[in-house]
Amino acid sequence: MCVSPGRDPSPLMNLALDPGALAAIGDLELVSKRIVDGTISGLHRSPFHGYSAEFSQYRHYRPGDDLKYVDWKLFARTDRVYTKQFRETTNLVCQIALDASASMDYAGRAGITKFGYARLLAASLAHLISRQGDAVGLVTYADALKSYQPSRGGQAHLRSLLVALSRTSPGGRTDAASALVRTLDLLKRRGLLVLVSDLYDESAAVEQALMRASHIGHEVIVFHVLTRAEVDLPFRDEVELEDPETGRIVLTNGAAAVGSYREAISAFLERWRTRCATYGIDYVRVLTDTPLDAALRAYLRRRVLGGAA
Amino acid sequence: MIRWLAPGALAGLLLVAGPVVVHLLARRHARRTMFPATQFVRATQAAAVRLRRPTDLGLLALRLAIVTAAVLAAAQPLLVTRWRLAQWNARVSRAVIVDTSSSMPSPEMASRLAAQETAGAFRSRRIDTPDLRDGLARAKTWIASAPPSRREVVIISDFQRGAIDRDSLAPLAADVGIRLVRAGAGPAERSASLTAVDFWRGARWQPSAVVDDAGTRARWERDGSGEGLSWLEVLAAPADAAAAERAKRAAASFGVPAGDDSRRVLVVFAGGEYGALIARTVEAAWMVEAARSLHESDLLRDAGIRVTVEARDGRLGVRAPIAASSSNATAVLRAVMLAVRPAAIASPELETLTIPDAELAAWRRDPAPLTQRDLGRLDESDGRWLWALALVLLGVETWARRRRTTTPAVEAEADAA
Repeated sequence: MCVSPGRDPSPLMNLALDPGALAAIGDLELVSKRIVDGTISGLHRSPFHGYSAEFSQYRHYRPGDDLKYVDWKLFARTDRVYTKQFRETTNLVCQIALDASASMDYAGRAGITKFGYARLLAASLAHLISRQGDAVGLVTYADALKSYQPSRGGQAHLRSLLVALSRTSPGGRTDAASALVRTLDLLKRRGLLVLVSDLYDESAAVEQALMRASHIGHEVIVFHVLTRAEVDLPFRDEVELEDPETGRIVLTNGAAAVGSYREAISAFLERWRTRCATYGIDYVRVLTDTPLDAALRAYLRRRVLGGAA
Repeated sequence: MIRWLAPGALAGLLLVAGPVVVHLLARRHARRTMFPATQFVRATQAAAVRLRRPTDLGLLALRLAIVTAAVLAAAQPLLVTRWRLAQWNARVSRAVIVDTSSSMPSPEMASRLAAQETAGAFRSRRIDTPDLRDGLARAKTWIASAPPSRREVVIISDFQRGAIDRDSLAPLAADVGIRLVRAGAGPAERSASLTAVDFWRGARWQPSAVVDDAGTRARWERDGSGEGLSWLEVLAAPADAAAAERAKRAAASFGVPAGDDSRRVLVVFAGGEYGALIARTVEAAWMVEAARSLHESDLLRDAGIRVTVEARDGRLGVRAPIAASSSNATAVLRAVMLAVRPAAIASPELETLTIPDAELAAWRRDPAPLTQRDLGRLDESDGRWLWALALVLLGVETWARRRRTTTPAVEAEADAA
């Protein structure tokens, strides 16, 4: 359903989609609906297509087949090993992994924290996918899983997902690798994995988890959420910078350090872009001072026009 | 051309070193803030950062400008332009000396003339005085403190001869104008009675003087026998009592100026005693004046006698270190008589001759226009504009300081695609 802003009685429709203003509204369902309404207007094709499968036939087991597709009941009856084969359908199973570590609780000069922005983004994606009639689930994590909502369809599930999302608060250190591995285990079949994070956990395990997700056939989208302050380093005086996750304190002079910082952050961003491109992962960098619907629409439009699926 | 009203304040320019030192050396308190991307931040050595360069050249320049503007404002600069000089030259500061001596034929006329002179002046001061020389000294002091303007001294008087002369006007600066305004003409003849003299030739004599353009005529008329000498008591050794009385009569025979008998005197020669009279501090004005006169007395100096003076129960006590029988006792008593009862001399106010108009005209001069070098006392400055500039710069500095921590140098665009 596409709602015309001029006929929507909700005062929310009259708000500019400023991330800070939207974050001040507690109703995540209403906000995500507003963002999705603004986002998909003009998109005539669904941006996401699923990889669900229906049983097609049996065939004899061949070495190397995944044992999980072996029909053990048939083996018991016939004493022969058969492997189940499936045919793909268009149903989408999506699992959203949201970084809820302490580093996400940073707003910089923007009126919204990275977590607040990422939560809106996750809610909007969930809303969008659920509206397509597909299944969507949610994992929030820091150093361990904080919450898990399995992938399901339906309005009631979406509502419970959004409630869980709204109750999540950021804190703790990041262990993205174990969270991704766990999420992949929870995905029953090939689907869409959306990672929303600031990606400061650059460990090899994270890279391996993403590589694995890509290799087993999941489509992976990485939303790299940052504040503009993290890109620019806006300090000019001597300042003590405290890492919210590690507690590490760095005494620096902003004016003196800004050059090397920008080089380092640029290299960091480039590493992630290259890494994702290597594994066929969609990499989307968003700054929290960018209107969310505009950022989302730009990505989805490119996705639709580019035929990505 | 810039004149500085308080040039000493320019020493405050040393203060501009303050912001430089603060920027270079002062260790600012590093505020602590959360920042999630610390792994990309290079730690800097605080000392190295401090000594390398000022942290914000723009802010430093602003602060230097603020200090400089404030110091220059405190030094009170005055930009002397041709326009301003013309403005100053268009006005006149005028000291008006009004002769209030008794010889003035018409004080009302002098007052009216003084009012006319002060009315048209930029700044004016009326100085009423019976002594024109004293008035000139006061006028010179006042006019030296007048704000930038042409300066003039106007003297309103009947200009009796002797009241003023060219030398009296010499102390006035060359650029100060002088005008002499005659206020009426005095009488052709003046007369006055002078102080009577007792005991001269055994009687009282009353002198009088008549002054006219031809000269001064004095007239002495006998007027009775004169007052007694009860106000003068001589104390001496009992053996010298007769000598003391003789000395007293001898001294009086020169004539004693008539006066108030309330001025009572005790002269104590060697051997004499004050008795029960209580010594007191010399406070009465006539006693002080008499003591001064005795100290300066030629009679005593010639006789080589020093007397001591004190007050004794309302009387002036004079102790002489000689005996009443001494030949100098008469000189002591004569000196005491003249000191206690000074003779009035003829007042110069009796003078009927006046300074000729031609002479007054020769003394007259117009006030000179101001020059860049000699502006007199400057009472205004352009410092207020510098204060305003300093305030504006202070506002800009505050704004810049607040903005500095929040302005990124480069805006990196988000790569949403």
